[in-house]
Amino acid sequence: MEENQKQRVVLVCPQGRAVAHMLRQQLQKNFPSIEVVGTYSINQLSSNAAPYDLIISTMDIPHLNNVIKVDPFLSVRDIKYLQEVLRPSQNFEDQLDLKILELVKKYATVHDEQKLQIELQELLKPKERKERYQPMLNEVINIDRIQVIDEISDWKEAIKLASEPLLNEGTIDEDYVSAMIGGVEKYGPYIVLADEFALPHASNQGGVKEIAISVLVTKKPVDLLGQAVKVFMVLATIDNQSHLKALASLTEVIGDDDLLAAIKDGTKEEILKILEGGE
Amino acid sequence: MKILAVCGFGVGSSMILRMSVEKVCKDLGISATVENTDVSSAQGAQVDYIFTSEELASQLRGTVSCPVITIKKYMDKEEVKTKFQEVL
Repeated sequence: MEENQKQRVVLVCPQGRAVAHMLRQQLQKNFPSIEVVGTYSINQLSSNAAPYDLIISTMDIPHLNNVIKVDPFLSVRDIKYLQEVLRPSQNFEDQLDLKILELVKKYATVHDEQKLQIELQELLKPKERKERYQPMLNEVINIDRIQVIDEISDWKEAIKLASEPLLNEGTIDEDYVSAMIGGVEKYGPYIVLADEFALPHASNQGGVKEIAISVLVTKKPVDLLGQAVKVFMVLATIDNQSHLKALASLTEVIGDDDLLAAIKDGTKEEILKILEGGE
Repeated sequence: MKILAVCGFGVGSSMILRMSVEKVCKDLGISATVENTDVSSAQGAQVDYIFTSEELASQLRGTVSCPVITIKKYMDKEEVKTKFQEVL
């Protein structure tokens, strides 16, 4: 319980490394009532952040409101201000998860307190941090985004061809296609997630208008750095969370050997039907 | 228990790996918080286990003190389960 009472702070600096590390040491020395739960660059923040109460940053983060901006070396003014803000008793909303948790524990048996608390925190997050709308799988795929071919020369061409419907409709741009190919070259063939199934994707640094999936099935497998692949499913994402529902449904389909086999052998219409069934 | 699922971008594959790990944890009766992230943010992470690919594991092993478990096919729950049980 002692741990839970501490204010959870994440640190943000340009790289999420050295400056945040320095800050962490200064903060922990001066403010024993806080717990630094993570250090991030501004880009990493949205996806990775552990549950937190407060962001302390060396940069402005305009789209979030629970941010305190400080100098990399805490100034006297910074320390004074932080002392104000970091007082043990916080306002009602910050502690609401713990209050609810206590109530639940009073009247019911809790099987997994940690998980319950995390879910409560998710639920009670300030509006600014609420996730965007999460589309279902059938909302991100359609018949025009599916292609079935006999063969193709190599995996790069396959990713390019698989991307074409999304490129043509303006959902993704050329940079996103290059980033997907670059990702495989840089990080290896782990996008081959299941037998003969690859999920090319990149991170959401612009270039993507909305969440979308396009499919290329090649009857003759093509080599992707040592792995044979027949199904290329291009995933275009706009942030790090909104595609969760669609991806969860997709894993249900792809994780089913029979359905995956049916996709490899299917026509465009059959493939669409299988994917739309996976809700 | 805290677990990280890691891929290059921290967006797609690692999210799928996270789902696999979550299912395996449930099967094994392990209570764990699983998060997905990209390889550079995972460096130096203080967690109990990290799941990632062979290629990325080498970028992480020197920077963390926890076991780094390598998975070939992120969607393969059996592989995740077997390899997880080896280090538990």
